[in-house]
Amino acid sequence: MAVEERNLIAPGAGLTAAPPVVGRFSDFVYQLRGNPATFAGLFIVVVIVLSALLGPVLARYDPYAVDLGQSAVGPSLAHPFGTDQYGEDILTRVVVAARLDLFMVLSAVGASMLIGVALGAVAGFFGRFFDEGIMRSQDVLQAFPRFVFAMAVAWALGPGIVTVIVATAAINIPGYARLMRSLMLSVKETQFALAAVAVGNSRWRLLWRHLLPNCLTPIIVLSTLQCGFTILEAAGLSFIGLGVRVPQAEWGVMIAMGLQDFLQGHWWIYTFPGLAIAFAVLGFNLLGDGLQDILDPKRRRV
Amino acid sequence: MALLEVSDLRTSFFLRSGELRVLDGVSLEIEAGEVLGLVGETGSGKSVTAYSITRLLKQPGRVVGGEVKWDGRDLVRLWESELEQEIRGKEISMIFQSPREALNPVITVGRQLTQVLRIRRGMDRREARAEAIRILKSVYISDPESRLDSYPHELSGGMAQRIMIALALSCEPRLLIADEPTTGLDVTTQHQIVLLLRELRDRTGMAILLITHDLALAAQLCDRVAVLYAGRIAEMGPIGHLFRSPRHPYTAALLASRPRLGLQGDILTIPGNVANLMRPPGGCRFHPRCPNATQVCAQQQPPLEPMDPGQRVACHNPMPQRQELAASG
Amino acid sequence: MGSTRLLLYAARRILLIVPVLLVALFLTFALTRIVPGNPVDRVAGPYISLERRAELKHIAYLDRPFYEQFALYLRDLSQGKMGTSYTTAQDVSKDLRQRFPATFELVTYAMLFAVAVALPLGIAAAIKKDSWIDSIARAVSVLGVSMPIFWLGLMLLYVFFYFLGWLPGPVGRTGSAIRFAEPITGFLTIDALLNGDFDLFLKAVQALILPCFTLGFVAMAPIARMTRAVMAEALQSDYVRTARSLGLPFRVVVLRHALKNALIPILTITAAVYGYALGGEVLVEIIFAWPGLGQYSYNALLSSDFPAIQGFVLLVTFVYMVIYLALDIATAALDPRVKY
Repeated sequence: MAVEERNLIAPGAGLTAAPPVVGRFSDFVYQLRGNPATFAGLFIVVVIVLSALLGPVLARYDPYAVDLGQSAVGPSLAHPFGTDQYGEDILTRVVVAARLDLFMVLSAVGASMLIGVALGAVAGFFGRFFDEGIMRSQDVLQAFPRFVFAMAVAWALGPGIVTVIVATAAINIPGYARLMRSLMLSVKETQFALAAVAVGNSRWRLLWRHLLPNCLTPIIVLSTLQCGFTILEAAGLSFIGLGVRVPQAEWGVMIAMGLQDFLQGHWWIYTFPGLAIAFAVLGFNLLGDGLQDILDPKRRRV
Repeated sequence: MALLEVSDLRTSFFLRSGELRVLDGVSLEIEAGEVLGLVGETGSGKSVTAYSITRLLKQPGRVVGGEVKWDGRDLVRLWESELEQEIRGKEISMIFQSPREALNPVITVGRQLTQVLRIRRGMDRREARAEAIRILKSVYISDPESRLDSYPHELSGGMAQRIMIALALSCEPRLLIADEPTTGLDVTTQHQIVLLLRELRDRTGMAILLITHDLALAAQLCDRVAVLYAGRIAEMGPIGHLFRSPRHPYTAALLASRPRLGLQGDILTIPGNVANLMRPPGGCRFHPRCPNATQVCAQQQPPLEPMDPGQRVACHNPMPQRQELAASG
Repeated sequence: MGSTRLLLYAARRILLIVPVLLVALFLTFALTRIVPGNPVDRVAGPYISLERRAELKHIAYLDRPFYEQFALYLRDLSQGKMGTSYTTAQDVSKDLRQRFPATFELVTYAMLFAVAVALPLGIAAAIKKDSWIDSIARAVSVLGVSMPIFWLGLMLLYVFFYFLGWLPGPVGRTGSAIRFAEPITGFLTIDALLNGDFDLFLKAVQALILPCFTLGFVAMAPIARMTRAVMAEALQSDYVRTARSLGLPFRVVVLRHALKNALIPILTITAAVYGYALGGEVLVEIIFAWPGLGQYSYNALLSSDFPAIQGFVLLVTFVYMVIYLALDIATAALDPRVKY
């Protein structure tokens, strides 16, 4: 076969260029756009936070203004959510309650996160005695059904905001401790951890600067979801009368007040606060699930 | 008529960022009793070809075009239930990489085997157990009676692969598709599995489609070989001819890049990266990396054409035939 | 594997319950003693003479040091006595025994309902991912987990009792029926049937519908979600691909291969949900005036009935531990990779 005159193209030409590096924020927005549920969750949480911050300022009525002449009035233009037995405007109270509930929940979740993560990190990192001791204590805490334990703690401490925070935080601690411990155990054995030790990092530096940041993601996801559950538990405690008491503007309390008037058919007294709870918890759940999808590399949008 | 005739098979993976055209017109055929090797780099689409034939692609993959003729029936157009009842297991079986993951971890090996025998061959419990033991013996598993009660995680890699082969053979298929059956096994075990497959082919007359990136493995087992690059067949032919006189530049480069005893200097590599399947190069997909590339290569995809000495090549500027072969005809 | 080894494992785990139970008991005991003031003062009111007060304290062991009180409580417990309730004046264990069947029936039916709906729903959603049934499963899961259980109960009660009048109101287990059946199993529904009292059976079922649905709906959500997730994962696994490549019918692949692997996480979440239900039933009983343990504990909390509260927490915790024990044993039996 004769060799023809060729117009050779140099090898390597025509290769496609490397894809551009995508910024982290724009990537986050891209993920959000593909996941409308997560976006909805984020939106809801923002609404709740805004209500909490701005609600009392923008409210038309005083949430504690008793007006017996307007007792148990159904939804109307003047009172879109109606009034309760004391004549207090429910819409105002629902919005104001956001502040109290959010405060309690964030405090409880924050406290349990700090304590639980610390316990789990110590158990996982130092092992042996610490691990055994800490995990046994968590076993005992987890032996009780969650809400029952919260009830017992709340009852022992007497009603009040602090009680709700302490009771709901107490039942959350084991969850964080276990998660942190297993994260710590797996991250301790990774290549980069061994490398950090080989390079000469002290134990504390290793723990603080190298290992903990890598455990951050699941903790964030857990915290978001825990916010939702804690709202339910805090409201539940207040509903029973073990938490925040009547006539505070708190969603659970308002539902309890609605229960009192149930047989008179004043459905609006408990319906709207309940909707607020469901709405808030829904937001946190959607956001938490979505964060899990976004932050777990295996489940991302490609 | 060939046992299996694949014509212009196209398979794509539909990701949110676009359509990944993994197979872009694959054509091959397997005769009864023959061993055809499908070789290529990682990402060339070898496994996808296998899964496309039996329609076991994982989401988000889908066959988008072409024909797969088995006994004159087009498998691509069959109902799922027909495929399930008539083809899979009974006519065409598969064995996979990582055999321990391909077996159900919570069911004993024996149960998995007897389940297939009872459901697909209608045996009762006693018959199935006896047949299971016989099949295990035929793949050289020692002490088959007690092996029946083992769980997959208790098996070694080689043993697990034998169990997989036993499973695949339990319904006496006419074609066995083996997807990288020796990857991950140690060299001795690899050799044993190869011998086993050879013996099974000789004994039962079944055809084998062997998918591998290991040219040496292909050399030990195959009658013919097809070389796959970026979703298209580059070259196909009897193994002896292919190895001694590769016509496609890619095949030649693959063969040249094997490390050999007594090699001086650097190992030859193929410049560039594997083609981007989202935005593949126009014309011949290999042309950006090809030493023989000319203008026409960037514009027109070369068709798979028969070429001396008995091979089919898809190239505008194939390598010249080796002299000794030309002389012998 | 061997069933003897499994039995030994079960025995070991049962024994392990005892120390955990003791510590839990201690914790509960300690909690009740944190409460400021002492029980007698809180309950008795200001009009009791000092002597009577001292006498009451003595009976309730309150004049002894803490550890002695605990030891005495344990001694009584071993004899089946849990202290005298301040409100019913009976031994708490008797109270609990009387109240237990109502709660047990409610929770059992609710959990059965939850699993019976969640399992098929989750499986169907996993098989047909991104279909309409998948959307329903996901919506139900997310809603069920987000709703306050007491609010759901009230809403349902309003719609079905107050507004539509289809179902009985919050008046307990028998709706409007006054008769009771000879208690054989404790389940009013079963006992009514066994006694041949079909009318009572109907009334009992009617009374059960709303509370069971309330509890069951919230219980169903996490189970459905977990089922869908693990089934979807199992269906994409390599071993399912192998099973399909052998031409095994899809039904067999789903039920005998995928589900078997998915079962353990599903059981785990069911046990967790059961624990949640043990707390949630308190709220449900309050709303529906159900004469069970939940209502009992509610009254006890309101009236500071220390022994009753203690007894309730102890019982519920014990049941929860038994559930988890069953889960551990089931996991060991089902998963050959677990070492025991």
